[in-house]
Amino acid sequence: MISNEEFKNIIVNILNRDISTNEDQKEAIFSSTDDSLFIVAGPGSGKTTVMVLKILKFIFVDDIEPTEILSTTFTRKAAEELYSRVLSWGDEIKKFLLENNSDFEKIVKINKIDFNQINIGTIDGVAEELLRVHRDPGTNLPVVIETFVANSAMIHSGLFKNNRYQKQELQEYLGHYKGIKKISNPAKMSEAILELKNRIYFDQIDFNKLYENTISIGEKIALDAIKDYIEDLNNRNIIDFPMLEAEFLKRLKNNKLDLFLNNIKILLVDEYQDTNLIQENIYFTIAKSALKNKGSITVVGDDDQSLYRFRGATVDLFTNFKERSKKALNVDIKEINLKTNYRSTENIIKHCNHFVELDKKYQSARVKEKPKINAFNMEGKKIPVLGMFRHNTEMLSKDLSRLIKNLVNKKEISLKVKKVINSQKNLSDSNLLESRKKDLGKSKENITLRLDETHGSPSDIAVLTFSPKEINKGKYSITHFLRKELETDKNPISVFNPRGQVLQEINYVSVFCGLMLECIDPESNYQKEIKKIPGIAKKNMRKWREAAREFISKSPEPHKPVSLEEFVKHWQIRQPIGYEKWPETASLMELAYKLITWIEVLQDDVEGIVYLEAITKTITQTGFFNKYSANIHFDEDEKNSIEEALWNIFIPIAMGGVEIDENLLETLPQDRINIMSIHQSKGLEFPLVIVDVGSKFKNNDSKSKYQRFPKSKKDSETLEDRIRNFSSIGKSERDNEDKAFDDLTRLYFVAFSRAEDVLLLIGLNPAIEGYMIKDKHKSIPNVALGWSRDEEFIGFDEIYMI
Amino acid sequence: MKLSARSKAYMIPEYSLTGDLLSFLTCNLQYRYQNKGTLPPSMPIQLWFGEFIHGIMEESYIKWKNGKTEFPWDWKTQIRPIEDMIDLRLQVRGLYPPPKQFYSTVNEENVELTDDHELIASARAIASINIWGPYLFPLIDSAEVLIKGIRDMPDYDESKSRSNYYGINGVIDVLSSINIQETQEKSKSDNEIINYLKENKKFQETIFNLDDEEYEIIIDYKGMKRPGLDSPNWLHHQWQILTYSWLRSKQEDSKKIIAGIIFYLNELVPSIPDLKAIQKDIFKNNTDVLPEDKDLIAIEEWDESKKVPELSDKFKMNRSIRIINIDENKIKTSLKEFDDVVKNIEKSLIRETDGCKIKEAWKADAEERTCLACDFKTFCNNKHNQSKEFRIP
Repeated sequence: MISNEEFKNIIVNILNRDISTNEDQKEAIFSSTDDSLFIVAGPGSGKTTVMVLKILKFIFVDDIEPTEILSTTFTRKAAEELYSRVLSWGDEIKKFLLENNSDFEKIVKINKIDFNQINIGTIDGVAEELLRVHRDPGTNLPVVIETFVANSAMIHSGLFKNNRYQKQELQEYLGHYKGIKKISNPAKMSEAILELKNRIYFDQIDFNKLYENTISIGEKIALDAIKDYIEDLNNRNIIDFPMLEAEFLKRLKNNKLDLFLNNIKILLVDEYQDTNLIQENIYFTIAKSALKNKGSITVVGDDDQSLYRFRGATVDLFTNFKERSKKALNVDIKEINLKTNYRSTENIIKHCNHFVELDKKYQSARVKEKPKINAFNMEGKKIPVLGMFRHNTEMLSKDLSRLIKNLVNKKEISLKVKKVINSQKNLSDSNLLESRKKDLGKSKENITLRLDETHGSPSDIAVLTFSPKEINKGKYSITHFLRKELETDKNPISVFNPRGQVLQEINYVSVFCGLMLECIDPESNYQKEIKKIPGIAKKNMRKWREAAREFISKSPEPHKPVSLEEFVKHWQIRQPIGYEKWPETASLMELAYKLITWIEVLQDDVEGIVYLEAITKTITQTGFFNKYSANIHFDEDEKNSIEEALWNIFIPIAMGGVEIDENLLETLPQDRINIMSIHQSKGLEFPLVIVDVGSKFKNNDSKSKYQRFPKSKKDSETLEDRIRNFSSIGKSERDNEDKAFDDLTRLYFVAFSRAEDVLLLIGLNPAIEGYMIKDKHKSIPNVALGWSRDEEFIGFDEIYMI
Repeated sequence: MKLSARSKAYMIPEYSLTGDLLSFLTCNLQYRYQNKGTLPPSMPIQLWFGEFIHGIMEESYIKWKNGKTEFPWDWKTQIRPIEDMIDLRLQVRGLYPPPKQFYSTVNEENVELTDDHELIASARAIASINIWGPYLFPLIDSAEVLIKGIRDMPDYDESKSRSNYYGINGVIDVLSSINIQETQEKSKSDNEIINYLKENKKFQETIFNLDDEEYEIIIDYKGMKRPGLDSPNWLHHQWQILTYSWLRSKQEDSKKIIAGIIFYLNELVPSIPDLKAIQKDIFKNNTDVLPEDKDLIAIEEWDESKKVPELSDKFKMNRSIRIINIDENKIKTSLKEFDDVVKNIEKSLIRETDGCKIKEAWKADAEERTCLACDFKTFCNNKHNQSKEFRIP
């Protein structure tokens, strides 16, 4: 339709994207339709821009039809973003071409371009849609369930059957792979069994072979639970996401999707570093057709940002992509490294480069001859990497929150540099302490910082941590203290940490669930008759009821036409208002909505509604496995219907099996500090990033090792190993310990590379200085602070301690 | 040093015409809770039946296309399996059938179905398939076509708006002129739908003046009675079809769209409340389809204490089918109307993001009928709901 040159001009002049100086980007965008590419895209390298422009170039320059393109991403959100960009830039280009064209035929052609026809989505979304569109006539389409429903299905069909969840052998088997003695909470057991089941699908394991080769009783019980789960789902014509991928692959291979395959030309896969074997197989099957149709496959990713091994991803599929696709598809792949970073300052990029290269053993896990990240010239932004380390968590959170408060209150803050620490090689433990204490004589000038006066907001600041949970095993973490400090100030600052609190322990959730329990089962009469309720559920349900009774005693508004106390009483003695007699059944959902009348936060607050949504979803979506579908019956079925509600709704919530949908929080006010796990921060960027590298580590104890220095017993076997014994992927050349170190390196690489202007590392003093025990100095090895896996401290170039 | 301000991720908000825009028009606050907040209704009668009957029409069309099975279809052996499939599909999403309207066997094993199990939702499924199926299915060219498009964000303000565009989508069935002509030739216009089109003067005018050789008609189904002329739904449904025709016209394989047809499927088997409302519309001359002769007498003589009377098939079909003519000016008006709806949704969203409480950011302004069935009536600020009796349980 137009030439490469015209397209380039449009990008520069109409979309205002200056790609002229970046040869890598240009090469990636302007490659021809039959060039298959391996794009290694470092953090902040404009990956989305490249993908969008590549798609648009195919359409406008090469006359590829939108329906001939398939592009997948890792999350729905990323897919929406890619799709939105294609739509908006596509529309802008279209408008420009229509205004500047006189050729009638061309105008008609341009006018008819419909970007909505491009297939963009997650692999699961794409699979579901293609199966729907190309299904065999007369066949029943399987219904796909969310992970959330799969979890309750596993509890129901796999664990409660034959009381499997009580079997010691199963509890120990599941615990073994998590490095603990046993798992006995059915919600957690269900998650662990689903992980096993998913790996069987992802690694394309022959289930029967695995079953025949099982030697442990625990594993056999787990596999039996999986069998029952699959059978139950099949009987109901339901599948979960991994089963959907298997079904998709089967249909691709069995020529059931030939209409789609015969049409496909361009396959573009993002975040390929987190692909698993079944997905690779799907992509290669599609690519075979694309190549046959004179098209290509392009994968984009970054091995240094691969974070989902725990979910079955295999980074080797990315690092070895060129060899693997040569073997499977007989195609030569061109490698392009997008190495210029447009996100971060030079100091931050230096830090990231140094960090990712400091451990020699990590290098062999990376893409071969991977270039360093280049900084894009950002003038005037020269803040060094900062460090804030204090004696204890309280002091740390106090000082950190003071810094945040001052920044948010639009003050220019001046940070006094206490000392500068730098890279120290080959130091023994004893002189390490001394060297750290020594001021290196670097600049003592203060560092000044301020937010943007007009557009700056607290959401410019993010705190990234290994786990954002505010309380863990009874101990408060830095995220708890930080929230307390920030939110209880005279000028409070809100904190956004959706994964910080557990649903079942939030006060108004307790009140709400307690009120429902008090209404349907006063005095816990039916609950008491159930012998098998896990202890933790019992304890939480008791707490809820107490919270509910206390709430009633405060006589909340409104008092008319009915007070809360009257409402609950009427329910308890089954005495109706507005009906002649108490009906035969009542809906739990209706009860829930009526109770909200007295709980304002569940009516008016965004977070409140998100928690309410998680509870109502539990009430409705788990209902279809059950006889009474979230209704309470008041005839001879009363006991059974209440027991069913307890098992399927209240016990899962009480045991922490229910999580909120963070996507629903999009309307939360922006004026909040983001606290999140490093995993959550994937794909995001913030002007000021605070990374917790050691707020939990006071000594070198073994319990915290997995978060900082995952030395393990050489002979320990992971679930991944166990499964891979039966997979064509085989065992990795890297041992488990190496893989654990690789994971941690990647995790902190992602964390550090989120920062645009300022990177601040926080922790306790011992994390840096070490600690004394029986007159002996000990240090705390920590990957995030520059230790190699050989237990050698290498450290960073310069960290300015404030 | 001054920190940069965080740049927002670029995301074009996507609106479904029925799921978002029409729902918002019904009640802003209910839309916030149910659609944006995904709080499920406790008695999703309307929602469930709407989705159920859509599913029934789509699946029965696919079944017909595959086997060209002769009509009428038998409920137990031919229609019930489709009903079961749709029922399951909805239950998985947390949408349970109202027990008085549909007998579900999702959690029952080996049930021997009797006529007693054929409740009103099934009766409507049977009527929809057997009355409209023989005429409609041969005309359909493509079913379940997803139509999507983007429009400029109304009142776009770079510092406040979420995006400079918004997306809009819907799902339709498409009838093609080729099928219409073929059917016409083959069966000498025994096709009632073609007869309805023939009787529609405006439609005939459009055909007469048409330059293109081929054209299309778009179809949608509604699980409700035909709205009264003064009901907001009457107008909203017209806007919906007009907007659909605009979206469809943007698709590469589309032909000129000259009309839309909505099937109000409750009219084929009206419930008592439906008939009450129909009676009211007729008495108040608030409808474009009036009964004659026996139907008129039956409706005039009917009251709630009696069973729903037998009405003629012709009358039920007349009330069930609505032809909406398409013209450019009307399309512009309807697009403008929906732009305004989006503007209002976005305004409420921005208010909420600015920290306004939800009940203040979203107005509760539904008609009394909507409020009666609403789960949030015990705490919303709408005047209909104040001093209302509080029922327990």
